[in-house]
Amino acid sequence: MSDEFNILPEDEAAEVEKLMNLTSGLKVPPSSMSKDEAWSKLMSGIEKQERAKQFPGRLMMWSAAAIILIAVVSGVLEYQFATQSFEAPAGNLAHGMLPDSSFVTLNAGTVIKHREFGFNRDRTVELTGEAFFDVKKGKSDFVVIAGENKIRVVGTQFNVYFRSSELSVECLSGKVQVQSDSKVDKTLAAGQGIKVNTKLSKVHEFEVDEEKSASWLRGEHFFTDAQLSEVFRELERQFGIKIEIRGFNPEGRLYSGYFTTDNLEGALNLVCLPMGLKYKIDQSKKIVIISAE
Amino acid sequence: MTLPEGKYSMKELTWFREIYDLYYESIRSFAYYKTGDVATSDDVVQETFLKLWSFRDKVRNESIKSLLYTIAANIIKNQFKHQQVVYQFEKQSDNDNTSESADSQILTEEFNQKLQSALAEIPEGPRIVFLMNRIEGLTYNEIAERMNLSVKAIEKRMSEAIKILRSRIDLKI
Repeated sequence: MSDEFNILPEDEAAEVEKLMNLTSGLKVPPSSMSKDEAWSKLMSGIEKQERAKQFPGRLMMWSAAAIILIAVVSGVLEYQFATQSFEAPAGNLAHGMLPDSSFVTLNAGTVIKHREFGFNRDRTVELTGEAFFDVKKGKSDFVVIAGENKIRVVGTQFNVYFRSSELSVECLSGKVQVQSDSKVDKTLAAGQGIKVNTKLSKVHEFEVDEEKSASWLRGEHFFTDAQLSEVFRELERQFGIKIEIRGFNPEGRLYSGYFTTDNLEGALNLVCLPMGLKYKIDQSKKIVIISAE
Repeated sequence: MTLPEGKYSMKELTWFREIYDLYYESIRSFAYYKTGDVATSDDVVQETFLKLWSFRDKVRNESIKSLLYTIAANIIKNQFKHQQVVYQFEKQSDNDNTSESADSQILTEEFNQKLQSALAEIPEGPRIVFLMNRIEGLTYNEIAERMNLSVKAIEKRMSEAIKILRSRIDLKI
């Protein structure tokens, strides 16, 4: 190797040679898996890739025949049953306009579905998650279906939250009719809100706090005596992270407070500090570990 | 060996395994030179070979070396957030009976630290060339082929790296 540097003066050449010797003793640190383990992993990755590629091909062959048969029938069914869905993934809000020009804003981790054709005749939207609706006046009622619950409106602004059998509806203007199961049938006027736990059949009516209502539209999340695990789930949805819990049980612990979505650390401080918890952020894997202090 | 389901010939799979055997270490090392992170390097290896497999029918064997490095470099650029590179190269075990063992004894912990951080301070271009030569023992010709550069360019990068290292580390004998 030294002959590559033999044009240098002698002492410099000696230095370079020393450097060369020192650095040739270095090795890249070993991987956590062997070369063969990495190969197996690669093979299963390839299998997944191949299957994804192949599936449409096989499916196409089979369905070619079926399609002809179904085509006629589906034309009719399509009009009746085709649905359009609209989703806000974790970490993002989504804004959209429904076919009747009503506006809807979806909170992170929310899906809505509605019929693709003839929506103006039947304005029904299925919801899982949380959404803010600004409904245009129309010929038919505007109905939000959340599980077994129905929220019926004419033209108004309202917020609907429906996750794991907890329904919360807040009416900001106009009138909203909330029907749950048959046990609840309540018409809300502007400024009124209702919470229904469909599993526990618990109903709670409240006055809408205008500052806090649908505050998630502005990136602010308020909680009053909320289950700590629900708060964690909201953090997961808002920041697109996974929370791992170490050394304590969040079950039955309640949190009152708020966080904003402009930065993860600030939000974690606002939730964890008052609860006597600490956290660690693993940026690369988008995992947050929360543990007892 | 597990055989993945799919449309490919045995010949293709054998070819793929050969390429993997030849370049697994090099690509992993390359990713480590670039990122200084072992776990990331493992991921880069997986993604790189997956990519290669996905366009195996378009690959010509002459260009495969530089292609693999290009794929790996792109994956790193696009998928992994750039962080400060911190190296933790290992010292070779002292069982070697060459004259190097005398020098590697001088490699005290403190000196080792200094060397590793000096290495991380070299700009990426020269740094990678230097490490490919020193750690994998690749010739300038071989590096030029892999990096898709001229031998002249490799020589230039090599001396640039040496210059920086000499200014950072005391090598007086």
